[in-house]
Amino acid sequence: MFALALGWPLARSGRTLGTGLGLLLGAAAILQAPSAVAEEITLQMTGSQVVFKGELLGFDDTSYTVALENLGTLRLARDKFDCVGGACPGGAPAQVAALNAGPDFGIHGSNTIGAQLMPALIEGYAETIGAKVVKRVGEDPEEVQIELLGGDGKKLSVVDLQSHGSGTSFPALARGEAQIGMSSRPIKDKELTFMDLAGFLGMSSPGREHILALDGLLVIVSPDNPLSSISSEDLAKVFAGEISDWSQLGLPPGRISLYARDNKSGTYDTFNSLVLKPAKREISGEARRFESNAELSDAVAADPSGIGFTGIAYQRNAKTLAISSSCGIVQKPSTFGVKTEEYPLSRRLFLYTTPNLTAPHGQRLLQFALSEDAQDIIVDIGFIDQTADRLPFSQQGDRLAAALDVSAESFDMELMRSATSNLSNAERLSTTFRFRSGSSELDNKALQDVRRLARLIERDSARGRQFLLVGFADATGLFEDNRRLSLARARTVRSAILAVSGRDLPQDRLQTLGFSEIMPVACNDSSKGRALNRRVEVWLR
Amino acid sequence: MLAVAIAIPASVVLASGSSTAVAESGQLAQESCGEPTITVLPLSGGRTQFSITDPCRAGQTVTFTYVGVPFQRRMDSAGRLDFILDCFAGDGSPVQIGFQDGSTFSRNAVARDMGRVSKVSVLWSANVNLDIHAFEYAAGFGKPGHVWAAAPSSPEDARSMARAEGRGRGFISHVSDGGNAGSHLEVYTFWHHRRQNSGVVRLALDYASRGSMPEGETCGNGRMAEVEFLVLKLSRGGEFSRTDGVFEAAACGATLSEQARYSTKAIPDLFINN
Repeated sequence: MFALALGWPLARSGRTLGTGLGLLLGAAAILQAPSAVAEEITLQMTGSQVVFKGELLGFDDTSYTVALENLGTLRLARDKFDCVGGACPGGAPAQVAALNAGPDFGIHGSNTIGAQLMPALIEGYAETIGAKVVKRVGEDPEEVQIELLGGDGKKLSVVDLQSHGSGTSFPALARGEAQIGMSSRPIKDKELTFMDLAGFLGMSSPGREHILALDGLLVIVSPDNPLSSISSEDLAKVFAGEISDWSQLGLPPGRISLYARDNKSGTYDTFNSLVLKPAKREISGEARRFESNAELSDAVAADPSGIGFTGIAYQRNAKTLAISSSCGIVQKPSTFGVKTEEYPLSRRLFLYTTPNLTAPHGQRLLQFALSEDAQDIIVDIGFIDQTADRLPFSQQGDRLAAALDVSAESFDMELMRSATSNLSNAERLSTTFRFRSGSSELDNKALQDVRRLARLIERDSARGRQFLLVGFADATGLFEDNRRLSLARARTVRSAILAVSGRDLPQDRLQTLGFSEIMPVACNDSSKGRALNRRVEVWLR
Repeated sequence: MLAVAIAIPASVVLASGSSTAVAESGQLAQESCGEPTITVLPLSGGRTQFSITDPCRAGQTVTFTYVGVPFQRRMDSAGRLDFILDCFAGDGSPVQIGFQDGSTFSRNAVARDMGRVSKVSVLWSANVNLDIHAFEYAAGFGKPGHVWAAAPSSPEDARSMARAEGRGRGFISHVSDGGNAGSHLEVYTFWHHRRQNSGVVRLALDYASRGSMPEGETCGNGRMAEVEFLVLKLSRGGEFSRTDGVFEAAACGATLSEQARYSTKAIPDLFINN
C-alpha cells in the first residue's frame, strides 16, 4: 500500500475543509455555542442600517459566528452588533465544542501568486526544514493540497492552496477558510469594511499587509503582430471596444480579439484602475475572460488578432508592448522600472494575514516568503524581487530628457546643476520610498525597504560608500515649498533608517537632499502620476 | 554530465508485483554462464543503448537499475537484447544489469547531447497509464506542437524543426502505458536551440486510464482511484528538481473537465531561458 509506505493517511483527504466556523478560530480553538440547534438571529450594526440575518453558529467574548445565505460563514465583532433572537447569548448555558481542523492552514486568492509563485515558495520553505513536498491534484485545476512530509514520512502540515483570484481572498479570510490571503492588488476600502465587520481590524496595517513581490502588467499580443507600443488612452479604447480593428492603430485591417482576466482577478482590478477607470471606460463584453494567467497568455500568443494583459511572469510565448503615457514617456516593462514602480503598469503583490494564522508552519512560511532567502525564488518564477538594483546616472538619458521637458514653473537651473553635480558620478538604487496617500507617513513597502536599506548600509561591501537620500515632490504648489517638502521627505527616511539601525550615522554617510519637482518620473496630470513623483530616491557613490 | 543521486520512494519505483514477475519469467540459466557481451552506445537526445549478447542466458529477464529505478526486459530466444535507456537524471552514473540467474554487471550510462536537452519525466508504479502532454509555444490540442505518446515526434524531427524554426522542439523519448511489471516512466525531451532565450512549453499530465469519465477501480474508493507519481526535471544546465504528486480520487460517473483531466498543476511548465 503506497500510502503506508510514504506515511500518508489511509483515509482520503478529499476536500474536507471542515466548517468555516471550525477553521475560523484554528484547530485548537474552543467555542461557546448556544445549547439550542442553530437558530435564525438578526445582527444589527450599532448606529447603522447594516443588518445581517442568518443562523448563529457560535459566539465567544468578542464575536458572533453566523452562517449567512449569500456570504457564507462570517465572524462579526460582538461590540459592534446588537443580537436579536432566541439563540442570542445570555440565555442558555454554553456548550463546549472541539473543532475539526481539516488542512492546517489555507492560502487563498490571487491566481497570479498562487499558480506558480506560492507553490515554489512552499517548496523553498520545505527545503529549509528538510521536508518533502507532495502535491495532491484534484478536479479543480486551481485548487491543490500541498503536504509537507518530514524525513520519516510523517505529515508535518497540509496547506490548502486555492488560486481563484484576489477577490476570493478576503471572503476566505473572513470565513476562516484561509489564514493567508494572496492579492495582486491592495485591499479595497469596501473589503476593509467587510473585514472590520468580520472582526478583523486593520487589514492594511503593516502587521496584516505584507508586500511579497513586485509585478508589472504586461500588455501582450501574438509574436506575429507588428505593433510595438500603444498609448494608455488607446489601450483603454481597445479594451472598451471603441477601437475594434487593428487598422485604427495603423496596422493591416483585422478585427481585434480581446483577452482579459475574470472579475475576481486582481490583475483585472489593476488593469481596470490603471487603464480603464482613468479613461472613464469599462471593459467590453466581447472580451474572452480567463481565470488563469498562463492560459490567457497562451491563447493570445496563438491568436494573431489577439491582445490581452497579464502579470510580468506570464509573458510566456507572447510579445509585450511598450506603454506610452499622456506626457509622451514611452516605457518598456523592465526590472528596474518595476522596482522603482515607475513603469506605468507596475503593481505590488500582497499577502494578507489574520490573527488566525496560528499554525507554526504557516507562520514560518510567511516569514520565509518575506525573507531574503525567498528573493531568488521570486526571480526564478519571473516576478520582480525587492532587493536593490543599481543603475548608473549615465544610463538614465530618458530621465534627463523628461527633466528638461517640463514647464518653466517646474524648473530651476541652479537646482538642476546641483542635482547633476551630486548624482552624475553616482548610481541610483531601485529602492524608492513613497508615502501613504495624503500623508507624510511612509507606506508599508517603504517600511519594509527601510529595514532592507539599513542592512545594506551595514554590509562590508557598502563600507566607505556614501548614500544619498534624494527627495522629490509633485508639481502641485509653489516650487520653493516643494523644495522644502522634498527635503523633509528625505529627512523622514533618514530618521526611519537610523531608528531601525539603532545607531547614528554621520551626515556625509547618509546625506539628505531635496530637489523639489525637477526630474519627474511620471506625468503630473493624474493623481497616480503625482503620487509617483512624491518620492525619496536612494543614490550610492 | 554526471547523473544526480535521487532518493525515490520504494512505493513509486517498485510495483507490488515486480519481484513476482522476475521469479515467474523464463528459465534460470546454468551457473556456468560467463560474462555476457554488453555494449553501450551513446544515442542522441540524451539516451543510451545497451546491447546484450549471451546465448547462455536466452529468455532470461534482465533488470536495468538506473538511479535506483529498475526497468525489466526479456532476452530473446537467441540471447540478444537491445534496451534504450533514457538518461532522465543525467548520464555518467553506473547502471546495474541484473540477470535472472543472480549475476550482476555494471556499465556507465553514456549519452549524447546532454548539454542540448532538458528532460521532464514522470515515474509511477501503479499499473495504469499516465501520459505527458506537451503544448509547445501555445499549441492547441491535436495541433502541430502538441507532443504526446500518440504524437511523439522523434529526436531527428525535433532537432531539424529546432534548426529550421530557430527555437527548440521536443519529443517523447520514453513511453510507458503502465502495462509492464516494474516502474513506469514517460519522458519528454526538449531539444534547445542555441539562440533561444524565451518561450514556454506547457505541460500537462493525464491519468489516461481514468479518462474523462472515471469508473470502476479508477474512481471513488477504487484500488486505482489515487495514483502517486514523481515528476523529475533535468534542465539543460544540469539543474535537477523533483516533485512528488498524487492524483486525488475523482467521483465515479463524474465528467472531468478538460482542465481537470489534463492537469497542469501536476507537472511544471518548461520555461526556456538561457
